[in-house]
Amino acid sequence: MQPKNNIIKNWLIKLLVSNTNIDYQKNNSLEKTLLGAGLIVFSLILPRVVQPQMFILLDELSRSILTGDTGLLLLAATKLVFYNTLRHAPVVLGAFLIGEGLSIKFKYNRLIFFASMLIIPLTFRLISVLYNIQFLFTASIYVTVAVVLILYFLTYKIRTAFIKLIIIVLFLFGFDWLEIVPLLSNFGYRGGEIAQTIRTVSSFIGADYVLNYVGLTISLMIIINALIITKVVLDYYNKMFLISRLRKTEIAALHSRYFQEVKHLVHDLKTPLATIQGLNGVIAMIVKDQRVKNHTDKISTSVEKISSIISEILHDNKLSIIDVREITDFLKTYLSLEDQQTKVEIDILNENKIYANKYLLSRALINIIDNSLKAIDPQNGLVRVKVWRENEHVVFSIHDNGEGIPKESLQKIWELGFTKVESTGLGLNFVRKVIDDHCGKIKIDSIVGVGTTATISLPEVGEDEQQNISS
Amino acid sequence: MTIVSLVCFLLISLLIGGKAKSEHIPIYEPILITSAGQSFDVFIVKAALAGLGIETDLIALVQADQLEGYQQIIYVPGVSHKGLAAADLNFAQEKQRVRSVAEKAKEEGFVFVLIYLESFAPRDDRNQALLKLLAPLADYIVVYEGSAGPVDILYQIVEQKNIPLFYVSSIPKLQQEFQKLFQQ
Repeated sequence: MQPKNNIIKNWLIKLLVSNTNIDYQKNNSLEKTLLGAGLIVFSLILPRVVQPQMFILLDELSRSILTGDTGLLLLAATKLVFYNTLRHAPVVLGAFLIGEGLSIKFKYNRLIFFASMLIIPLTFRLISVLYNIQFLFTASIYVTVAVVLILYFLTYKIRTAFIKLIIIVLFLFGFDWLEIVPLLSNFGYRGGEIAQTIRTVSSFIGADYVLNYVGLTISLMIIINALIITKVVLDYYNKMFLISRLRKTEIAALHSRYFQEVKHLVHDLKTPLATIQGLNGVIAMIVKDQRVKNHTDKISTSVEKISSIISEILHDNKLSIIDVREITDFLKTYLSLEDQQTKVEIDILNENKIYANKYLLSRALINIIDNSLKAIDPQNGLVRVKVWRENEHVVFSIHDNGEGIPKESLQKIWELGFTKVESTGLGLNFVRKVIDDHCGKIKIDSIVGVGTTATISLPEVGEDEQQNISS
Repeated sequence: MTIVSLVCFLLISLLIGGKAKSEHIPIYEPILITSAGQSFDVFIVKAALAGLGIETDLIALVQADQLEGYQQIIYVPGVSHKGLAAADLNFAQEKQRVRSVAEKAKEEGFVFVLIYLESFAPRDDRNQALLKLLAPLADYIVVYEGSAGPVDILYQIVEQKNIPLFYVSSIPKLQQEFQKLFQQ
């Protein structure tokens, strides 16, 4: 069992430093929605914890009035902007994350827009009611949210929540600076109570020019920086996406070339095999010795088996009705060759028939058994293969008591090229393709330190079908 | 006795009538400046008067028992949520404090000046409640022309009570405008 703090740590790492994996995106809609809801709850608690007087903001503001000190006013304005960003960020981010989570869940991108436009003003209102304060959803916030929402769509490709969070907070910070610029108050950028007071004080002590200059400059600098970071991160993601696609193409090409080569080699085996079979027949006809005849019979049977395997390899889309015992016999043959039989237990609870390409299905199972053998302890490790019938399906279960697979790796094991040992990384991807081609299902469960279980379910051939085919 | 009462009434009427037509606000230093609602306007008024060399004591949260030694009080109404939160007061408590101080000041014959500069939160009913409470007690009222607050209620009270009303038109030039209003 993983300790609880490790589970939370792994979850946060997965969420904040997520990757470009599309399957992962499909699966984390609930996590995003929950994180978003958590941020909204945090934003509701925040006004109780952080209040402007904690920043000595009000005191500086009153002193700036009495002394006419522009520096103090600027300091108070800066603190107000920090304070506002701190309050606005969890509301905006929470709403965006909930929207994104819902849009992934319901496969409707515009939900981000609708959810944000609903959740943000509602949260502002709720905070106002809860604390009896004026947490105003001003026109400036609407503009900010609209702009950030556009940017959110622009940065949609950025899957790393942490980077996205930084970019959005930067934009919010930049826009929050505009609230203290007196020049913009005529354009609806009025902000909340303290922002209005700051502008009144600025006008009273004659600091409008300074506040306009500083506010606009800093705001512009931050927004430009945020835009540059967005561009850099987007370029990086585009490059990573291209590299990832290139790698997949390369692996797919390698995969294809590898199997083509194997097919050619296997095809080339047919000629010498035909020669062996022909000459073996000639020997059987010529010799009178019964012992030699027995040997030629065995040679003939073996050559037929090899021919059958070759045929299955060359026609890998060809499925035929076979008994599950034929598969397990094949596995046993392989294991005896590999001298691993002592570490693998095979248990057939029901004997049934399935549609399968014997060679490919056996290779897929061997692939999983191989992985299990690599994961177990060489002295005490054990791999159990069980076959049984369940709901008109034949189920193969391969369980090992090895080291297990961490959760974060479990989501990547099906990816082409993913490997934890030195190999091509084609293994489990090949397995899944074979199982898919057999209209079956495969799932892998694993607990670190306990072991891994691969469960493969294949449609059973019913008795009626068998009779129809034989008749 | 009746004649004496009549003379007194005429004298008082003359005095009040005279005040209504007043073009200046008298000054009886030291002046007590206090807030009603804890907005920052009170600091602006204090700074503007200080610039004119008028001695004032700013006690934003003054209590009724702190009025000794003063003859004049300037009330600057304006509800600030942040200001109230910083003072750890809710509006009901603040209103109660304002009422008790204002009534005591009136009882003791203070020159009562109300300066309303509020341009924020025009729809805030609490500002209106404070103005309803303070304006009828005021001897002089000063209103910022750009005020978006509930000034209509002020005009009604001014008309009913015949209270001298003055305007200021510019916050940056508040000091100069106060110079015209306050007579030393």
